[in-house]
Amino acid sequence: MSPKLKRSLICWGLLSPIVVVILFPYLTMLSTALTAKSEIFVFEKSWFPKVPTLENFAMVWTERGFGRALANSLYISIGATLLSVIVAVPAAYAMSRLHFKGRNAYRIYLLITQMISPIVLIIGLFRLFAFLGMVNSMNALIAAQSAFFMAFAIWMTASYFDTVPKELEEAAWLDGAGKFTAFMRVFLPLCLPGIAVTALFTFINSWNEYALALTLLRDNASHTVPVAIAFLTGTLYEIEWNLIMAATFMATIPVAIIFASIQRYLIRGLSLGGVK
Amino acid sequence: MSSINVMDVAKFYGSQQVLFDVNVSIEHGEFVVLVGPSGCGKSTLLRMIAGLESVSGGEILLGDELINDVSPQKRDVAMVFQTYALYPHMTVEENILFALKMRNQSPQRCEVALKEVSEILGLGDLLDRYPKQLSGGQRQRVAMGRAIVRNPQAFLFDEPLSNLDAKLRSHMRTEIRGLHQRLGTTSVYVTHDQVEAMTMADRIVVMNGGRIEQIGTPIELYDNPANKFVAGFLGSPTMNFVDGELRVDGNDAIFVSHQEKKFQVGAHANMGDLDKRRATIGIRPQSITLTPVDSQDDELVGHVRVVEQTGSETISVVDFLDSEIIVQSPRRQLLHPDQAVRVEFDMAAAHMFDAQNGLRLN
Amino acid sequence: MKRIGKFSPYLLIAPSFFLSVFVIGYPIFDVVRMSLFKVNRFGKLQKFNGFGNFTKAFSDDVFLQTIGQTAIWTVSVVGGTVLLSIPIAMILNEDFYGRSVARTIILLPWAVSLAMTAVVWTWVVNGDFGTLNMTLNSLGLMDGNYVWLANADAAFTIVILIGILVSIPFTVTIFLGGLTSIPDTLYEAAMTDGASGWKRFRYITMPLLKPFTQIAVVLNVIYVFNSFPLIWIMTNGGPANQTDILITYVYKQAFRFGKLDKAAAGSVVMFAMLVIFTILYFYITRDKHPAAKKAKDADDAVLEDLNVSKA
Repeated sequence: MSPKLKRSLICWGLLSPIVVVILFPYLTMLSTALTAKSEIFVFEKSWFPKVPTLENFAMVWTERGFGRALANSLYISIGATLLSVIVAVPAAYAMSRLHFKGRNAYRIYLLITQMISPIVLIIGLFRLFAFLGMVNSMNALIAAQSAFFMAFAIWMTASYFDTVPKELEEAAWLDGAGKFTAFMRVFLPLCLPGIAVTALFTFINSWNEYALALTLLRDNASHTVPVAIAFLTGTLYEIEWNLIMAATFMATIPVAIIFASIQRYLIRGLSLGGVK
Repeated sequence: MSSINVMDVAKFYGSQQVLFDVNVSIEHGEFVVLVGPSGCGKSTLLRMIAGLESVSGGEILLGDELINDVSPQKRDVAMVFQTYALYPHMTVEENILFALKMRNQSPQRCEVALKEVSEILGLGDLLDRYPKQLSGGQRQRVAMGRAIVRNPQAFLFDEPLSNLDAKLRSHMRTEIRGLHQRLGTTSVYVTHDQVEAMTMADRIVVMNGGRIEQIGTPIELYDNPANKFVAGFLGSPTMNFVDGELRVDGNDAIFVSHQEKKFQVGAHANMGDLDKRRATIGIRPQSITLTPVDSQDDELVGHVRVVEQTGSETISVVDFLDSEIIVQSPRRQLLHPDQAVRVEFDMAAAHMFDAQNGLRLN
Repeated sequence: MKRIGKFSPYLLIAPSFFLSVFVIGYPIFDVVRMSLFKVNRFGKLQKFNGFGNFTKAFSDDVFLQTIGQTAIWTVSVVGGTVLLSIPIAMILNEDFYGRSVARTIILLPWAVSLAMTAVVWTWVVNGDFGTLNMTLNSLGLMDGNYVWLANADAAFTIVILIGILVSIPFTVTIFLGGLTSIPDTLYEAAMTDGASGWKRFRYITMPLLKPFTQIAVVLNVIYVFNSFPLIWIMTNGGPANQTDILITYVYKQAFRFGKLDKAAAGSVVMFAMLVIFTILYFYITRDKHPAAKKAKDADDAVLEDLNVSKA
C-alpha cells in the first residue's frame, strides 16, 4: 500500500464520525422528501421509501405557498445583493486604493458593524421600519440585510482590488485615460470575477437569513423561504414533514452547490476582515 | 519630443521630506539616468515628472509648459514600469493601441502605428497573445512598444530591467540604447544599478537621501567624482577608502594614514591650505598592484585574505592598513590566502576627499 | 478639480456609511433610549425611568436563569467547536485522496441556512418518526423511542451539539488559513533537529496557531452568543424556558409579550457584552509590533523602498 493511500484511509477514518453527523440530516431530508405521506407516519420505518415519489415536490410547489415564498426570497436576495455590491464597490475602491484620513477608523467601524448581530437590535430595527410604514415591505428587508452584509462585501471586494497592481491604473492614466475611464476599462474588468464571487456570497447570506426576515415581514404573503418553511413546522395540526423536507431540499441544495463551488474564495474575505 | 526642466523641486509625504531642492535640466533628445540607493528619491522624482505624484514645491517644465498641475493623462509622456503593467485582459495589440484609442485616433492611424512598432520591436508573432503567455523579455518589449507607439514628448523608465535575469538584462540594455539612438526621444531612466547607469546614460544624475549628489557624463562622474558618495557608488568593485591626514610642505604633499604609512600625493595649486587636513583617499581596485614578497619588514606589506579568479582577472581582498582592500588585476595572478604582498597604490589615479564633508579635494 | 479629488474617498464610502448609520446606528440609539424609558405595548415612550427597566429585568428569575443558560450555551458551543476544529483542520491540511470532497462536506453546514438546519434536525430527532431514534434502535443502542426535545437537558444538549456542528466550518476555515501560513520548512527543520510528531505539534503548530485560536474563540463567542434560529425553531426556548438564551428571551419579551421596555433593557445588556467581546477582539488583533508597523508606513511613504522590496 502506498504511503498516500494509507494516509488517506487514516484521514477518512478520523473524519468519518463528523462526516456521518453532517450528512445524516441531509440523507434524512432526501429520504423523507421522496416518501409518500402515507408511508411517513408508520412506526415500521426504514431509510428507503418503498415507492419513491416526487409528488411532495409538486405539492409543496402548488399548494403550500412555497412558490410564492421562493419568488419573495429571490426578489429579496437579488435586491440585497445588488444594493450591497453597489455600496461596497466604491467603498472597497477607497479602502483598497486611496489614502485618506479616517481610513483606519472606517475599517474599524466596518468591523464593528459585523460584530453587532441584527437580532440584538431587532426591536430598534422593527420600530425604525414601523415608523417608516415599511413593515411587511420587502424593500425594507433588502435595506436592512444589505447594511449587515455590506462590511463583508467591502472586505471581499477590496481584497480583489488589492490584487490589481496600482501600476496598471497608472499606466492607463499615462496612456491618456481619465480616472473614470481607467476604472471602467482597466480596473473593473480585472475585478469582475471577484465582484461576482462577492455577489454570490451575499446572495447566499441573504437567501439563508432568518431573524430579520421573520421580524420585518410579518404577513404570510411576504414570507421568505426559511421563514415559510419554519412556519410550517409550527402549525398545531399534523406537521407535513414529507412536504417540509421537499421544500427544504429545494431551498438548500442549489444554494449549497453554489457555495461549495466558491468556498475556496471565502478565505480572502476573512483574511481581509482581520482574521489573519 | 521635449526638454524637461526640474527646478527647485521638493516633495513631502506629510511632514517627511523626501526630495530637497532638486534641479535637473534634461535637453531634448537626451538619455538621462537617475541612479542612487533605494529610498534616495529617484523613483519619486520620476513619478512626479509622470504626474503620478504631486509636486510639493518648485516647478517641472515639459518643453516650455509648466506641468505641475497637469493630470497624467494630459501630459504627453509614456512610462515603462518595473512590473511592465501590461493590461492582463488585453492582447498585445490591444495593449499597444490602448493609448491611441484613448486619444481617439482613427483605425487607419492605429494600424499604421501598430505595424511600425511591431516591426521595430519584432512583435509580429505576438500580437494576438495575452501578457501571461509572454516571456519576461517579450513583456518588456511590449511595454516598450506601448510607450513608443504614442510618439510621446518623453519616455520615462522606472527600473524596467530589474525583473529580468542577468543575461537578458544586458541584452535589453543594448536594445533600449539602440532604440534611443533610432528614435531620439528624450528619456529619463531610473535604476539602482550603477552598471546600467554607466552603460546607458548620456548623463547620469546621482541621488542620495533626496538630494542630487552630482550630474555629469558617465566618464566625468567616474573620473572626477564630486564627493566620496559618488566615488563609492559608481564603479565595480567599489572604490577603496583609506582615512588619514594630509601634510603639505611647499610643493611636497603626502598623505599619512592613521597607521603612519606615507603616500606621496601629486601636488597642485593651493595645496598649502590643506596642511594637517583630515582626509580620505579613494583608490579604485584597478589602480592597485600586488607583488608577492618574502619579507615582512616592508612597510607596505599586506596579507591576502581571499582570492577570486574570474578566469580573465583576479580579484583579491587584502588586509592592509587595518582595513580590507579590494584589488582587481587584469590578469591571472596566482596568490593564496595568508600570503604576504606588497601593496602599491597608483597615486596619480587616487581621489582625495575631505574627511568631514566628503567633498573632493584634488 | 483638486478639491473634488481631496473629498472623493469620502464620497466613495458615503453610501455604505449612510446605509449602516441608518440601519444599524439609529436602532442602537433607539434601543438604548427605550431601555431608559417606560414604554407601553404599542412602543410609545412614556416617561424616563432611569435604570428601572434594568432592575425589573434583573429581578425576573427567568432573565437570570437565561443569563446562566446563555453562558452554558456559549461556553460549550465555542469550546466544543474549537476543540474539534483544530484536529479537523489538521487532517484537512494533510495531502490525501478525496481531500477536496472532505473539505466540501465539512464546510457544508455553512452553506445551509441555520433555519433550514434547525428544521431538518427537528425532524431527525422527532420522537415518533425521526431517523435518529430509528437508527439508534436498529443499531441496538436504544430500545423504544425517546422524545428528545421534550426533556430540557436532552434538548439543550442537542441544540448545543448542532450549534457546534454549524460553527465548525467557519472555525476550520480560520485554522486552515493558520496552518497554511506555517511554512513546511519549519517542520523539516524541526525533523532534522530530531523533533517527533507530537513535539512538532507542541512546539511549532500550537504556538504558531495561537493567534488564530484567539481570533476563532472571540469571533465564535460573538456569533454563538448572537445565534437565534437554532434555538428559536428547535425548542423555542422550551420546555419551561430551560433552553432560552438571552436573545430568544428578548425576542419573546418584545414580540410575544409586548414588554418592550424589558426587552430593550435585555438588548442593551447584550449589546454591552458584545462591546466587551469586540474590544477583546481588537485587543487580540492589535498590532503587536509597533516597529514593524512603523517600517510599513515608511514603506508606503517612500515608494522606492516598495519597488525594491518587490524586486
